[in-house]
Amino acid sequence: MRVLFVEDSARLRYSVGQALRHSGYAVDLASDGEEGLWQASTLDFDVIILDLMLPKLDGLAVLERLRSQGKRTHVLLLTARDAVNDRVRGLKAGADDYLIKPFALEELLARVEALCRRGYGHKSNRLQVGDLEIDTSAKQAVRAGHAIHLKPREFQLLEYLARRTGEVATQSEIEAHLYNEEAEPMSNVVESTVSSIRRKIHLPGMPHLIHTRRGMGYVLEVRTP
Amino acid sequence: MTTIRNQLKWRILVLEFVLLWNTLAIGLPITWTALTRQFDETLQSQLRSISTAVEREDDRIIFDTTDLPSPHFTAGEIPLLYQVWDFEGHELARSPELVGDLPRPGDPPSEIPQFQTSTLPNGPRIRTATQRVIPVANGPHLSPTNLRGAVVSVAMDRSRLDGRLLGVALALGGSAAILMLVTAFVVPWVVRTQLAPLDELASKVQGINAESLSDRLPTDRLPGELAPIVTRLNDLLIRLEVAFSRERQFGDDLAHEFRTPIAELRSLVEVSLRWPETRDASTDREILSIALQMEHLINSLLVIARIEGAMEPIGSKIVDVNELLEEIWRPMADRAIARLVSLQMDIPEGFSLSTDPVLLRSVLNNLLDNAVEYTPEGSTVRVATISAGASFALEVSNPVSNLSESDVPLLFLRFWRKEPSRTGSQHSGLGLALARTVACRLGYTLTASLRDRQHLILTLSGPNPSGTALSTPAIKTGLPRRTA
Repeated sequence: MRVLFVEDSARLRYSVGQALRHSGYAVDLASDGEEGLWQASTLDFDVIILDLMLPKLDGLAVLERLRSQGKRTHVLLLTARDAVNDRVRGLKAGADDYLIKPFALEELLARVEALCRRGYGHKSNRLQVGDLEIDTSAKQAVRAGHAIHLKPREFQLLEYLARRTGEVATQSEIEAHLYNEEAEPMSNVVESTVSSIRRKIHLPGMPHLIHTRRGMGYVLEVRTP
Repeated sequence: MTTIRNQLKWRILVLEFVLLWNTLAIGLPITWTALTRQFDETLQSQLRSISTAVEREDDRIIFDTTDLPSPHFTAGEIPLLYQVWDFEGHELARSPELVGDLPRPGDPPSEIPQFQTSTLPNGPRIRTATQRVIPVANGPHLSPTNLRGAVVSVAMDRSRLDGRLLGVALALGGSAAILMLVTAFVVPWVVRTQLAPLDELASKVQGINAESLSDRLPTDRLPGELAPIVTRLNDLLIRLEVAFSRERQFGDDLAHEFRTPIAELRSLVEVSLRWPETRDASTDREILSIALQMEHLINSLLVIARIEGAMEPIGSKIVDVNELLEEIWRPMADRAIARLVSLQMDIPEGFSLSTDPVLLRSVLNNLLDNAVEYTPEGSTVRVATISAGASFALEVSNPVSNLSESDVPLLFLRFWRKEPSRTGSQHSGLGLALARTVACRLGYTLTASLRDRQHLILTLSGPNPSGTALSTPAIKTGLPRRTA
């Protein structure tokens, strides 16, 4: 999952960015409203965490312009303003959620995860594809009762495929959701990661779950023989 | 509850009642008198006619009815009665219809007609006119009897007069009652109708709350009396809106200044605890920096609170301003050098103030700190003193690039910062507010102005009775120029 964090406090950008990365998100950062709007407009994010009081362009203006562009990305507003009116204004401007500073990191991560789930039409933090179960909160995958040990990037990719079960995910889409703007993934990194996941989730006698569509991408689904 | 509507209604009603009462009290007697006089004039003309029948015959007074039209003498529709006496009271003649006697007032009887109301024994109320009549003396010799003449009294039934008087009284009283009744309904309706704009205004004013301060009361189609009130109310709303906006901004700024560093601190610590491998010396430095920033913020607020509450005693000492400014500048010189900011001081040698040195240091420190922080890189901060007798003025001026005239009144507001996002954690917007509070406590004033839209001038001024008085021009050439 890819998250954009727009915040003018360098310390918060650093600490929240760290927390999001450690939680398995690809994180892009912006320090002012103009930069945030540019990134949000040109790139594809699952969630945008947006501070309200921003230099150059305040958060509400960023949000309104995004919505006017037709961007439906889920937005979590983050602000020191706690008045009801401020919250109402933010939500009316098109925000999906609102968090007041100071906040518990755990709560921020939970809200970001909930917004990610909502983006793919899931209400639970458990994804199931056949006998494969993925717990997006605990970052655990289990197949037929066997725990599967995945690296963070592998888990992110599997989760992304699982959220889009039955849909073909192209290599560029996977890269866009798994890597931030600063990362420059090697050309075969997605292919090798998918290969690694295939090996780890495959159990003898059980059907393969990740299928390759030549020239198109990958799809996670249960295929009946 | 006392309302204008009720007061107006009752006062109009009472006033109208008084006016009607006075109209009745004055009008009724006048009408009464006029009708009675008219009746009396008729009676008097009848008296004159009857009196022509009193004649002198030799030495006797006789009443000759020969020329009278008929025994039942009438005048128009009014029945007429008469009775004639000689001067001594012996009856000479009377109307055949007369029952009893007519009143014979006056002793002796007057030659001027006397009018009187009385009742005959048979019932009717009559009005009589009585006059002493002396027949015309044609001969040279008049006896005493002739000179005394006769007394003639005529009477008319006054029932018609009484009826007219009663009719007039009833007409006036009835009209007054109807008028009162109509007024009792009309006045409240008129008052309510005329005061309807006031009700509408009250309703609109009642609907104003903190969220609708930007609304304005309509001034068109208002009565002339209300228009200036509504205009004043709208002016008040503008001031309230500004005050609320500032208050809200103050709340937002305060929240930001406290919540943001706490959020930074909390997230840094939570990340370190959850992922210990991320923690390094820079994390600790950031945490310490946040703690110092909050300490500074709290100390500034405490100082302002204490000074405003006059909790801190004020000392008094002769302070050499040059020396004090040098001491203040020293710790901020490195920061100034880094920004290529220089200091120019045009202060006479030996210029001193008699004041609290600690508080004066706080004021000047904030002024210089503000100048070094916000003046564009490569600028010169100028400090100059101006003395005018027993008072002084000290100016700290520096070029500015992003201030407007509208910003100047806001400079001393707590937490005000030009950048609404309040990015950056070194300054909280309390410095100038603190400086002004301290200056006030010292008995000084601290003002700000913008010269040519390019130079911000902060002026500290006040009395300096025991300080060094400068009789020569305050800004001397050749003063030491100190450049950071």
